[in-house]
Amino acid sequence: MKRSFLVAVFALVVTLPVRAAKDTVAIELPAEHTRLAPGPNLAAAQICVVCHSVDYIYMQPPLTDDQWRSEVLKMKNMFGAPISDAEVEPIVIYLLSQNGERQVQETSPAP
Amino acid sequence: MGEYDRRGSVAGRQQLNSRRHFMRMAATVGGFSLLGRTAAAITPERAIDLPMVNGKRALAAYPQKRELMVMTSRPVQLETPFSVFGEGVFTPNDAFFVRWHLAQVPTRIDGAAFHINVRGAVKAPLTLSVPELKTKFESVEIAAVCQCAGNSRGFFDPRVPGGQWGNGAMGNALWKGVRLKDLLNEAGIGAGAVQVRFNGADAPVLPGTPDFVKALDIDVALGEDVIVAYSMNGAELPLLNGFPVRLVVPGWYATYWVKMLDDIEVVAACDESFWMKPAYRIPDVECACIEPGQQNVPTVPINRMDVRSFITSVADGATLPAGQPQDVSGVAFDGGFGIRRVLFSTDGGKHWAETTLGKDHGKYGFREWHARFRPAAGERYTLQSLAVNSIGQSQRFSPRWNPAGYMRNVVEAVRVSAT
Repeated sequence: MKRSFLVAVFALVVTLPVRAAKDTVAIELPAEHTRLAPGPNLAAAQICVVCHSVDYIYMQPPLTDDQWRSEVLKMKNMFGAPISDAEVEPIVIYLLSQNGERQVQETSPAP
Repeated sequence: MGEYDRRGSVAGRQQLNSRRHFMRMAATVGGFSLLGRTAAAITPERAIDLPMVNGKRALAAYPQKRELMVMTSRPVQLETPFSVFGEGVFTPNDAFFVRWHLAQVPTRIDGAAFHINVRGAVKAPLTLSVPELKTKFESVEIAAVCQCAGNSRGFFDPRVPGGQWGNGAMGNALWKGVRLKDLLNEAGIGAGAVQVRFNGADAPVLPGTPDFVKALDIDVALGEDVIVAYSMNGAELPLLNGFPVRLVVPGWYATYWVKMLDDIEVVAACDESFWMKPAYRIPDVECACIEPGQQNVPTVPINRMDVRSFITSVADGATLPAGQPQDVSGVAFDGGFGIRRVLFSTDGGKHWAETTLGKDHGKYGFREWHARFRPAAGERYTLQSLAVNSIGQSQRFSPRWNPAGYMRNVVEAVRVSAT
């Protein structure tokens, strides 16, 4: 629990739906101000936030390296994330550092 | 059911969740966002701690919504705080859970320009506006529970990856719309039709990500009660619940209830695109379960919901006044056969008593039940409810396990004491 953490902010703009015209409904979603926390291979892991917010990572139970690898490969092979073969393990190491069953020592600078 | 009803931090969980500061959210006062302030300004913390590791969920009021638990912010996934289910048998629209799969969700919908296509293996393709939908076809109303396949996934043991819901990824609403079969018959189903495929206006971020498309076998799609709904509890659907129209498949898991439905395609082959295979599948065995680690078990698409019930009037950990009769109530539902009876236990399932069922809103909705017991001072009770449906199916006493965390329906427990 001593690892570093990020302070992130959900910008919660309480907005009502706008009736711009009859039958039109427009809403404004709260701005997303969550960021990946510092960790090994952070640069490689930035690909994650192209498609989803970081809470997808932190809400999971701590996962094993096999489980995180399987998630990364799912993103790469099934969801079309542009992740090269060489980037898979660095991203797994990052995810383990953030929410892994096997704790990984943070190293810096990232390789 | 844990601490759903408690807002703010609880000492024991504070420690557990100490590293999840990212869940902290900006307080908003009078509609002004505190974006840009320092971390010190992020108070008071508004969150609910689900009783699971990494279970802290910020509370936030999204447009057309009251404060709900933010599971993820992009795509938006919001869980209904469990206390809402104690407010009434129908889940208010502004409290109804939200689950999107892909981040490109339109935030502006022109209801007049929105059209639904009925096409594919049909004799005459249709393009229908929402007003045409409302005026050209007979309308029907159905009370039905919409429940995420992964509702309660966070309580699986061992835990499984996925959306870490508590028990609040469900809701009961009165849906109004037109029968899907009337639309299909108007278009005329062509020879060789096998399934009907449904797509909504949401889209993936990357071109390589599979669009969220779901399919029903033609006999299911032609069922009397499958509707294209334009109204929810007497009002328009909130945008985040699929405005202007969504598919409603009563008795079936919410994965098929495609939101912002704009494309209905009759197809001549079984759809095996990503969201039908390998996603949203269950082990092809009667219990829909396997042993953790078991491999290569054949799967089928998830389909009907199984029987569940909840105690909604008392939260876990509550203290009740001793020596007085206490009313305990809750809800039960199943996959569309209808609830026949709900039993109630105060001793962790050693003894069961019949409950009184509330008004019957139809076989697809929440069915309320009521029980009463007299707690004694200093005693502890494990309250449980057990529902049985009209074909004799009941809840499990031990939780099933499957790798995707679907279909939890174990008999739940609420622990209370009396003073």
